[in-house]
Amino acid sequence: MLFYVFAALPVPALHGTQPIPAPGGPGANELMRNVGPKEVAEIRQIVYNYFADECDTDTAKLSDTTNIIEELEGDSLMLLSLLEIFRKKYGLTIELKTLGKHLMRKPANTIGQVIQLTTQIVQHGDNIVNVEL
Amino acid sequence: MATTSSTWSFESATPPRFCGVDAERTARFAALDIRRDRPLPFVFSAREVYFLRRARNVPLGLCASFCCKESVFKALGAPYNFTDCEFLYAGEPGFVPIRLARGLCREHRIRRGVAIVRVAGRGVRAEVVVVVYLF
Repeated sequence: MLFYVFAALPVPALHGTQPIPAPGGPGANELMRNVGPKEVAEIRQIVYNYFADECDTDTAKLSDTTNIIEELEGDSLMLLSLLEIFRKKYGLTIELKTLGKHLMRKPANTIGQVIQLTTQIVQHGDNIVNVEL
Repeated sequence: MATTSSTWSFESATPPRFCGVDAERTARFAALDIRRDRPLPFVFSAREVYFLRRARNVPLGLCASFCCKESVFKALGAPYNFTDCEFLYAGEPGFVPIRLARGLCREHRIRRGVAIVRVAGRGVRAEVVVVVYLF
């Protein structure tokens, strides 16, 4: 029956790989964004606050070497929620497939690695897969 | 997360090419507001959000959809765009069809997918397990 529900839905099919429009950042993938020390500090602050809030802990107890999975019991949903925060803030249009490929090559297990990854995503967008970190 | 146990049997004329499983708590999706917004657009398609706006249990639908996408990822063993996999779950028992994008099917040489959902517990404590079969 669900097949009929699919067919009846008036929403246009959104399959495909078109970038998701994000507030404040059209064409974010087209050009490399300059990420200065101020932006890096801001990203660091957001990541620390996010994990402290999500994992009910104090930011003082977190460090760049804190392992997100083993020490904070983090998972993919947390990473996706964090990505959503940065999507809204910086207008990211990176594809999940691109990010996944990058993460398989270069996993982000610690908070420091997530900060580095986020900085690279903000800077390079979908081109991150071609960037050697 | 509490430990749950269940046994499933599966019969099909065509053997599945891939199989994947994922579990999550519905409480983690309770804060997502789909009435006015499209949360996690990297994950949920517009069609899924549109469908779930009419659902009785929105966190359950979002949770099942997310678990389905994660299960497909585990089944394929390769990253893909989560919006290429749509799962419209409204609490029905049995196998529920998964809508897979043509490009994804072509890339992994699959034709279709089905998922079965098990819900343990109620309310904010409910936990969802989704098993996916790709043919």
